[in-house]
Amino acid sequence: MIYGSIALALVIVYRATGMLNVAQGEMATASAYVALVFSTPATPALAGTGLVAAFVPFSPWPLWASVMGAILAGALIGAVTERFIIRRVSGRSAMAVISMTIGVLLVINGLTEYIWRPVTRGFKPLFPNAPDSFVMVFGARLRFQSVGVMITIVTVLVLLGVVLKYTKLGLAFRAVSCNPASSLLVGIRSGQIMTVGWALAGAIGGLAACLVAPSVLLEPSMMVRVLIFSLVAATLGGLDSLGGALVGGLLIGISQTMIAGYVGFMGSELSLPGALMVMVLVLMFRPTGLFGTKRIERV
Amino acid sequence: MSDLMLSLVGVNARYGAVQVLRNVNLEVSRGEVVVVLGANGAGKTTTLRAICSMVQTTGSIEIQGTQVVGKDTAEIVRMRVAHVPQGRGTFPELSVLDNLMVGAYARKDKGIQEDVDRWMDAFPRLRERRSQAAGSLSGGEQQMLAVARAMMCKPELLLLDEPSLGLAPIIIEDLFRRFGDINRETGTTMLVVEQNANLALEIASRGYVLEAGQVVLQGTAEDLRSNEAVREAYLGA
Repeated sequence: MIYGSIALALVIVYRATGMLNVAQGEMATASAYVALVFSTPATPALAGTGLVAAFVPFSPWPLWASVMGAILAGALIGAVTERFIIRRVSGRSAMAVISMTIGVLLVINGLTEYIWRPVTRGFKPLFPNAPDSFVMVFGARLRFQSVGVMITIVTVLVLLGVVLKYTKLGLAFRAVSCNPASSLLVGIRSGQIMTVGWALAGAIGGLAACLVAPSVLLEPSMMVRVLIFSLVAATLGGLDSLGGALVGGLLIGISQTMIAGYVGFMGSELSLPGALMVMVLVLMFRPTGLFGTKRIERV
Repeated sequence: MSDLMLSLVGVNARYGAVQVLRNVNLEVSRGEVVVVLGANGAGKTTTLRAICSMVQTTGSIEIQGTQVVGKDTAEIVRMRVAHVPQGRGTFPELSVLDNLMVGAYARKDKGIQEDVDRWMDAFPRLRERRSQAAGSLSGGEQQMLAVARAMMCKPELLLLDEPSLGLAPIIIEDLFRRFGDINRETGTTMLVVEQNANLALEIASRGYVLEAGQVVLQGTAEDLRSNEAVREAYLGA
């Protein structure tokens, strides 16, 4: 599910801008720290909490409000990154853009490490997570936390799908990713659309990080592995398909757990090369992924 | 002339270090169809791009009396200027219907659905293929779609960049007849860049000939048609 949600964010940026944002994971991590800072009472162990306690009314905020803060922070990080960094190289080669997002990844990673120290921190789950908070479904234990995460992400997906398909903003997104030059000629301010796209992806990343943080523990590099798996998930599902991102995420997540559990010699250490193999195979034999659309061209 | 739709005075345009237009003067009155002729690389396309602020431009370009040099393209589109670029400029991955809807992006009024019907009536093939991806249409259909999409913004000024490019002669003829119809029915002013001088001069009232980024000749359609140099270079006579 987590891979699915970060893959979702990757796909949104790709759909809206035709770019791949490698820094998506680090943006999400930084947003999760924002939530942590807002929900923690002032303590010298966590930078920023003092500041929040002094200047932010009603702090520390309840967890849900802090997650809202993280979503906003994610949107802001996304928008600022697009407007002031990515836009300077947009229109150049895809390589330039990707290198730039790698740069952003390193900067954000460095900053979070500098500000919040490279130690792991607990992050309270959003949904009840006591030992007995689960429901039995067909003999399997479904924990409230997992169900909650799943419902949240599916809701986000459906909302996004509706926005993309039925609103003017969605039409503009699809137009810009399909033909930026013509979009300009029908009066779409493609710059603004791109900023909104990055903000949206940043927001979803922020939400995703808050969902994943309880299970992997929050630390500045927590998203590095997640990002790689998400990238594989997005490729598998099809880089331009929102539903594909989610399905790809599920497939990768489930097979990772199953293989580590049942194929003894692989273990979890080998799951990363395994996932990358999947990516290589997909790109070789079905570059559009499971649900991606082929570029249609006819002359 | 108070009824001037478009006027270019001393326009220079460049792509980086390469100057493409030199001191171009050009006027189009309201309701008129004007054609720009010229060989490849003469600056025809750049002239249209300059009007939409898509190249570095100096000089004066006025649309209905408003200076547009330095405005951004989105603003100019909102002044009801539609540009059909070379190669159609449709959105290949969007459906035909979405292509029309995106054409109306800059509009805020209620009549959008009405206009979709209107242009689907005018081009029945588009209605047949409304939910197909635009990229799957034939060249002629795509050009129709491009024109219909442009008309969706209710343009006062329609810029057409080599609409005949890559189309069969019979389709080109039909297309130009439609341009004539659209001009008569809606009063839309048109500036057409064309290599197919014969047809273009049939629907146009006046024309300009560009050579190496400069206007070397201008006149009424009849004048140009009977001009020896034009006949030789562009009419194949």
